[in-house]
Amino acid sequence: MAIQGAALFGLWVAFSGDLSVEFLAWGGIATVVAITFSELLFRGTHEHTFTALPSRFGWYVWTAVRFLLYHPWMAYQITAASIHVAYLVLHPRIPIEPALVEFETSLVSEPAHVLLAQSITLTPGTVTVDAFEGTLLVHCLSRLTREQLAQGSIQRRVAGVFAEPAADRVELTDVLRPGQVPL
Amino acid sequence: MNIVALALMAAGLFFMAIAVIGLVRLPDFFSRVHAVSKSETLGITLLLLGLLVSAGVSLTGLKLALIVLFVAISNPVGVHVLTRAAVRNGLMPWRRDGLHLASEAQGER
Repeated sequence: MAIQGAALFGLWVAFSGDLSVEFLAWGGIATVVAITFSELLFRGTHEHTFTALPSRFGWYVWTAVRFLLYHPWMAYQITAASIHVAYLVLHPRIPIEPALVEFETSLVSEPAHVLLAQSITLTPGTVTVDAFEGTLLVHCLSRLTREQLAQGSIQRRVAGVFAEPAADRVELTDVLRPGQVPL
Repeated sequence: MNIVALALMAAGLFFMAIAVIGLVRLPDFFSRVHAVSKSETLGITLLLLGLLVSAGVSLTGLKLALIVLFVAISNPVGVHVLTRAAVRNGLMPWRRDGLHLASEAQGER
């Protein structure tokens, strides 16, 4: 909490570029408000730690490098999929075929699950609705985005980042009733 | 330099316009969430990249880059929260084959 506060305040000073008392006071108030709200929101949630992760320093360096290399591919995916969604929206008949599906991911660690869920959400045409214990609930907008999800290319890339096993194909199951989802 | 910035901003505005058109045209809550969140992610990113190019390497440019980062993180989180709340309250997406209607008839409400 003190570390977060110091980081936030440091960011404020760096970006305002002004060391007058008035600016610093406003920065202090903003920091306290932000920290208070995040404590109220996330109290108790960060006690859960990433136990499955290795503790070697080199692993973190290489994962960080692979994670940075992941971004250009993701940017390309987002652009291509945005054009597809634009086509769907502008088409006179709106050729969408929405479906709610669930699948079991082959990824093991929790950060990998988070990156996979966020990447699926950031890619236009697919939204991760929920995730629990390696099962992801995803809403697809069209047949093409559903097929891309089934091919599991995002999962293979994420598996590459974290050096984890990746399935060749993802088995998608349609979710039709609210009670079908084990929440 | 200026032309690159203008092209980026125009592309950004195009995708934001798509978001608005999608919000009106698409049939249900889930597909509208797609239109708004996704097209807008790219729209805002392109718009800010355009401003970044015109601002150049400066403190303002750094702030703009930071806004791009924050949007990229907060946007999917907001979408998770919205859609998860909808599903947990029993809302099922519209389907072209009508299977969602069958589940509605036998389910509660």
